[in-house]
Amino acid sequence: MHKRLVNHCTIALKLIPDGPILIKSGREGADPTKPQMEFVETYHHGKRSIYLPGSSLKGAIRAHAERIVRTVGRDKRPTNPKLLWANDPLTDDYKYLENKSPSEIYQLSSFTDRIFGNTSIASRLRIEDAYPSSDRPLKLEERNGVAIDRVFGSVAVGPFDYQVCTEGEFITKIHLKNFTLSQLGLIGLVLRDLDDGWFGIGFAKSRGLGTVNVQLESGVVQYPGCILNDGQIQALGSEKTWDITTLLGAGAFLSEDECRKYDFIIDDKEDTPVAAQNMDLGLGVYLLWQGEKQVKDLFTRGVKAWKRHYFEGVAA
Amino acid sequence: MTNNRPIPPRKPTPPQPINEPVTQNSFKPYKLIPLSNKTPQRKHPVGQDRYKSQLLSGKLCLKLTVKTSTFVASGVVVMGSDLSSRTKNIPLVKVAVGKDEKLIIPGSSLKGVIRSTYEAITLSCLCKTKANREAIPNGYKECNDKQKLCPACQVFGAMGWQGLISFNDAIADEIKPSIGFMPSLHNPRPKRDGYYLNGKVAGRKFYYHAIKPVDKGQQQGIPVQQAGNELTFSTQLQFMNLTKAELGTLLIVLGQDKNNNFALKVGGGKPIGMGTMIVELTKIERCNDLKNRYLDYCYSENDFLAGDKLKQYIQELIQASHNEKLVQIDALKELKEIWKYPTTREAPQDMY
Repeated sequence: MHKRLVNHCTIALKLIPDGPILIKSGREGADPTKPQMEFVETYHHGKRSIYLPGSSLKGAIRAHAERIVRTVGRDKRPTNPKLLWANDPLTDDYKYLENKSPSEIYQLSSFTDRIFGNTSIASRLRIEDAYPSSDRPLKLEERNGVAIDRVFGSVAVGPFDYQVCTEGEFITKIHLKNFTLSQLGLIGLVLRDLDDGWFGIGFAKSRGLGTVNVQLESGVVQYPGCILNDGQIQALGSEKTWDITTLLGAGAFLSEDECRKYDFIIDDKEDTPVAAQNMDLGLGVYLLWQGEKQVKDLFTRGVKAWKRHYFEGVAA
Repeated sequence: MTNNRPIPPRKPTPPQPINEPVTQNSFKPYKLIPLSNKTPQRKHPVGQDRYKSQLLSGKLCLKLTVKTSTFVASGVVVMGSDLSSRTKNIPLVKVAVGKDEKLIIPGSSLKGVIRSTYEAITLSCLCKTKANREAIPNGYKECNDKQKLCPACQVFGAMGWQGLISFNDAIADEIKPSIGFMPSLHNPRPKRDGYYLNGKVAGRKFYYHAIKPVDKGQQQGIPVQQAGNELTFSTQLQFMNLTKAELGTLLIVLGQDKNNNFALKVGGGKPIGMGTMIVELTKIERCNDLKNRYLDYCYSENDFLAGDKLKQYIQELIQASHNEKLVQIDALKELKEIWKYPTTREAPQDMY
């Protein structure tokens, strides 16, 4: 299903430290004035700057997405592929994907592997490195830690010092391609929980670090193979048309046979309050959700589809 | 310019065995909570792979009130004139952790206090100590097998295993500058007989509370930026997949058991009576219906327990902790004896 691109969603967001955060660089620099544990750094806009690597963010998002799927669904592969399940990608041997056709591989993969990828299918979710914005200056501080000896009350381990970021904002984008609406819904739930402090990012999450606020900036959903025709969205090379205010998941673009093969939801769609517009160059249409309230509305529609997906699996 | 140089510590007056019954004039400002004859029971931790519906997940909202001045060092020393106009006459001040002029108790400090107390009243491993390996009683070695963890490591985490609760920094509710003078303190002497019983470690060290901290004043103390009396801090504590007994034990540690209430001891200067803090649990946010939480974007059915309902629930949890024998009655009694508050004890004037 990566052979063609049917839809694409980009969520732009800001991550704002709510307390200290630290993504460790993993190595100790030679600069003696710097703490033992440093923030990851890279070149951004021509100078050294700390950032949140996409890989760290994706790891945290994936882990929580799996946690959510296991909470409502299961952690083992069910016989009914419509049931929601998440595997453990670290221990799964993926034997059940050996010598299978691409459509079977997708169908047999867990709900989270279908989004984040496994050894046989690529990820549909991409998250950019989050760089600090110039609107809110960064504040870097040093914190110290010691482990207190339980018997003597003195220092048992340490003191060790680490660098934390306590203020600023990091800008990033999450991209989802060929997404189903329930996948979009799950990402919405993960970001909601991140904002709510149910999980954190980076080092020392259990002792005061890692919580961030998520500020949703915009959501763009594109259908590159569609045009606007007579107030309708029309898929090129097919008879399919939809109302101009329709949010379409990957399943909506496929034939029923193809949907069954991959186990996509047939007619995966939701009404929206925003209307499609033409993309540049006259091909493709897009829908735009702007600001926190609207992006939440986009996620609400995704979660509706996610809920339907859940009950369809349960009922089947 | 040298008036705040620390005076060298004096030798303390003759040592006494520390496990003697403590009297009002007792010499040491601390006592060891003995390790149980029973050994820690280790088992497979519940894990974080999902929110389990039969277990408890949610948040605790806490308010901490300083009863004797508390100092959590940031490790930074600044010139008094850089700190505020009130301190411009003090050459150097050890500053506490803070944010935007408000003092902070870092999540790591809070976690350390709460974890070590949880360890002491449950049958848990002696997880951080420099005591000789041979001196650690059988079965009390630090947990090193992720599949088999002691009660405290299951809840608070172990090497390579993330725990089930996460702390946040506690932030002062107001800007209230306060400077105190802290004498320099002795290192503990791990060779002292009092720490051992039959060649094995005798217990875990806990310091008594005192009516007020020793204030040696400018001449004999080092100026520190401290959280003064009655300053309050607010924080939240996130928990997931705890049993009722585990959450109950955590609440006992936070001093919420009305039959065993006590104050915590946080930060530096414990032997001279600093760091007494009482905890108030203002609210529990419980997620009762995990399935609905994850099937609805605008989920708002979390239970907020406060007031009488909260009190009732606290008792229910603490009862569960007793029923399941997670909390060790003997150790809890010892702890209550050491940490009871208010107290009539005076902090010792000698150096510790």
